Parts: sequence; structure tokens; C-alpha cells
Amino acid sequence: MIEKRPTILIVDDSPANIQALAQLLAGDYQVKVAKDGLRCLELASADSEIDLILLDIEMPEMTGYEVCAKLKANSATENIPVIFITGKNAIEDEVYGFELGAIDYITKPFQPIIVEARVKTHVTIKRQSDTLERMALRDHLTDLYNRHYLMDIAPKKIANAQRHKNPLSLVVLDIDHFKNINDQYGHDFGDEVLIGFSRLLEEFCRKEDVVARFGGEEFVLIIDHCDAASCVAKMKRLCADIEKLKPNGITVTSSFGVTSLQEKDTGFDELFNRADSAVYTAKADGRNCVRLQE
Amino acid sequence: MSSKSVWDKEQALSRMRGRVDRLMMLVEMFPGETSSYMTNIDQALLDGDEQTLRAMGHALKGVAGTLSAHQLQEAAEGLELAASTDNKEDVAAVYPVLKRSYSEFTQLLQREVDAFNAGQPTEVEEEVPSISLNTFLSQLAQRLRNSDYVDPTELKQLSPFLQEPEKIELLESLRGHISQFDNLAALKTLEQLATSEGIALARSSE
Repeated sequence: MIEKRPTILIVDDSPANIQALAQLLAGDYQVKVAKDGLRCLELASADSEIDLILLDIEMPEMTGYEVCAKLKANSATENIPVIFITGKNAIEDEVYGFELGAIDYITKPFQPIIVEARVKTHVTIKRQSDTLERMALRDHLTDLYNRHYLMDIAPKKIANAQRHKNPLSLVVLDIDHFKNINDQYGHDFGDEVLIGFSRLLEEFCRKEDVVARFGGEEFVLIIDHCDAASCVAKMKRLCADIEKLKPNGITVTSSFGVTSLQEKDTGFDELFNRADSAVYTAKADGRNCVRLQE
Repeated sequence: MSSKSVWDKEQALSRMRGRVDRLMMLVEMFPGETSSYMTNIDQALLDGDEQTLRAMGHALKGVAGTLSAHQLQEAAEGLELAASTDNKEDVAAVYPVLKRSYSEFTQLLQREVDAFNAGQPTEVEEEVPSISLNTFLSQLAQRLRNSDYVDPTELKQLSPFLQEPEKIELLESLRGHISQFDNLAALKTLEQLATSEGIALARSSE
């Protein structure tokens, strides 16, 4: 697989300065451009692929300092490294830039070799850090979130839903007779089934839902802003889609246990136990179906 | 005053990694970008607007520095410093130096542009386009919507398709907007260009 080139966002109000930087970097990087702070924030929030921001400080409307502070205050953009590239060469300006969370500071007029070296260093660190994070939070086989991530995010989702009095549903689903698939076709085949199954779960769910592999052939979904009735209806559609999926040409079905957050619930375990118990009911009722436990 | 202090072309070229075409692009952009700075400085002096003087001095310092126009860079920095400390005497002293430096530098650049253009072959061999006009325009529109960097020299590929004077004019206008990173204006011109060729641009899939 060809690795995608890292993406650099250049933010400067001077077209000549942008051209000089972009021409320098466009050979090795995917370059995006913003002429003001607002556009920078829009692009950074919308594009999770940005690996580094080269940010001017003196800009009309919103200074680079303000932009950096906003980037660092937003969980979606806080991890994007920011290098200030600026004509402000006083030491206190540089110190302030670092205090705001910038990772480096380059003064104009820039020296090409300095820009290239620092950009390369920080992009490499960012990519390594992304890889480590991915390895820690994602399941190696399916690339879904892993149990570790689920146990971390679930209490936050539950607390947030309780605080704002929003409905939240939790689903446990289990592939029916998965052991038979492994026994009959081998583990490599079983792995391909798990991958195909996982892709369908991801495509079916919304971006903001949590889709995690809990272990083996068991998966957990946390669905915000969704009450029990809506969730059951949704899972019935997913159940039908799974039956139609036929990964590697074989029919696969799944049993679903659904529950929703109650006022009395104090944490993830209660929700999980109810949903897990509902899965047992679904299995006992002949599998390939959805059962709710309030 | 040595000519290097007006413009250290060698250093500017090294900043462009020795690429004369890239340097010439910046040279051609310079007057368009900075004339408004000079107008704003004149107006701010009349208004006693120190904040604008400081901001314009800073902006001019940046562009002049990128092009290694040392004398202008120094004068612009002088204006920035004087305005930031509200020192009217220093502002008054540095202003004529700035005007003269700006004028000397722009004249030097104009001579450079004339010499560069005179050295270019009159019959430019047209590049053979590798993709259809429709595909090129649609991809370009998508890149502009995504705020992807577009090298203005890429537009050379459009020349073989666009021979009529009004289309050449639109192409020049498009090149100008792209050089200035005015993506909204560039997209509007691109729509006009596409319409004139009977092409409906694909909508954003962003």
C-alpha cells in the first residue's frame, strides 16, 4: 500500500510568503493553504489528516496566537503540532508561542533547510505518535476500537448523557456459531469474516457512535442520543444487513442485546450486564434476532 | 548603497532552492501584494493611525525579507518599531527611507521581469495535455474547494485548450486569483471558463 504523503497546512495572510513556503514543501507533502485564522480552524476541525500547521502570527482579524489557543482548546485539533513561522523575532514572542502550545518557532525570513528539517522532524514524531495511539486504542485485526478504549470512553459517554439528560443505548452483539466457522474453514477465514463484519458495523453506525470489538466474536456499540425503541429498530435493520453481507460467501448472522441508560444506572457495568443478558435471551430465542432488556 | 542591499538576488534564489521560475513568480507577485501596504501606510500617516503603520510595516518586512530585499526590510522594520512605540519622530524619519527603498526595489524587479521575459522564447512550445479539459477543470475546482495548494504553473496545461482572447483573459484572471489564494474568486472564474467551454463542473464531494 502506498503511504499517503503527510499534510501540512500553511496559514499566512501574505500570498508571497505562502508561495515561498508551499513551493518549498509541495514536493514532499500534501499542502493546504489558509489565508486567515478562521479558515485555518475550519480546515483543522474538518480534516483529521492534517499532520502539521505552519502558522503566521501577525494576521488581520485573528492573530496566530489566538488561532493556536483555539486549536489547543479543541479536543479534535489539540494534537496537531503547530510551528509558528513569523517575523516577530523578540524572545518574549517566542516564549509566548511555546506557552500557547506551539511545538516550534521559526523566524522570517526563513532558511529553507531549517524549515525542511523542522517540518520533517515534527511530522515524523506526529506520525509515530499517531501509530502508537492507534496501536493502543484499536483492535489489531479489525481496526475497530478495542476493549481498552471502550472501558475508557464508556463512563464519559454515560456521565455526559446523564448530565444532559440525553438518551443513550448500549448494544452487545455476538456472531452466531462463530466457532463453527473457525472449525470448518480455518482461523484465517474466520479472521476475514471478522474484518468484513467489522467494516459493516462501522459503515452502519454514525461517526459519533462507539463501535468496539470486546473480544473474540463479541462487539459493543454505544449509541448516543438514541432511546431503546429507536435503537431496537436500528439494530433490526443491522441484523438484516448482516445476514445479507455474506463475508467470504458464507451466511453469517448475529444476536443482539440492547439496553438503554436508566436514571438509576451508576456505570458501564450495569448497562453491559443488561445488554449481555439480552444477548443470551436472543441466543435462546433462536439467534439472528434483537432482544431488549430495560 | 550596494545593489545587494537593495536586492540580494542570490540569497533569494537560494531560498527558492535555485529555481528561477519560482523566484520570478514571487517577483511578479510583489508589486500586486505590496502596493496596498504602501497606500495604507500613506493613509495611516495622514490619520495618525499608529496601529496600521505598525501592521503594514510588519507585513512589508515579511515579504521583503522573503525576497531578500534587505534595505526595504530594514526600513519596514524601522517603521514597525517606531509605530509600535508611538514614536512620531522616528516614523517621520523612516518614512522617506521606506518610500525610496520601495521605489528602488520595485524598479529593480521590473527590470528583472523585463529581462526575464526578453530571454524567454517567443514561441513557447505548448505542453501536451495529459488529461481532458473537463477532468482538469473539475479536479482543479475540487482542489480549490478543499483549500489544497495549486501551483499557478500547473495552469499552463490549459493553454492548448483556450485560444480565443476572452478565454485567455479568463485564464490569466484565474492564474491571478490562484496566485493570491483567493479561492472564491478563482472558483467563480473557473465556473465562467467551464461554462464558456460547455462544461458543467462536478459538484463538491467534500
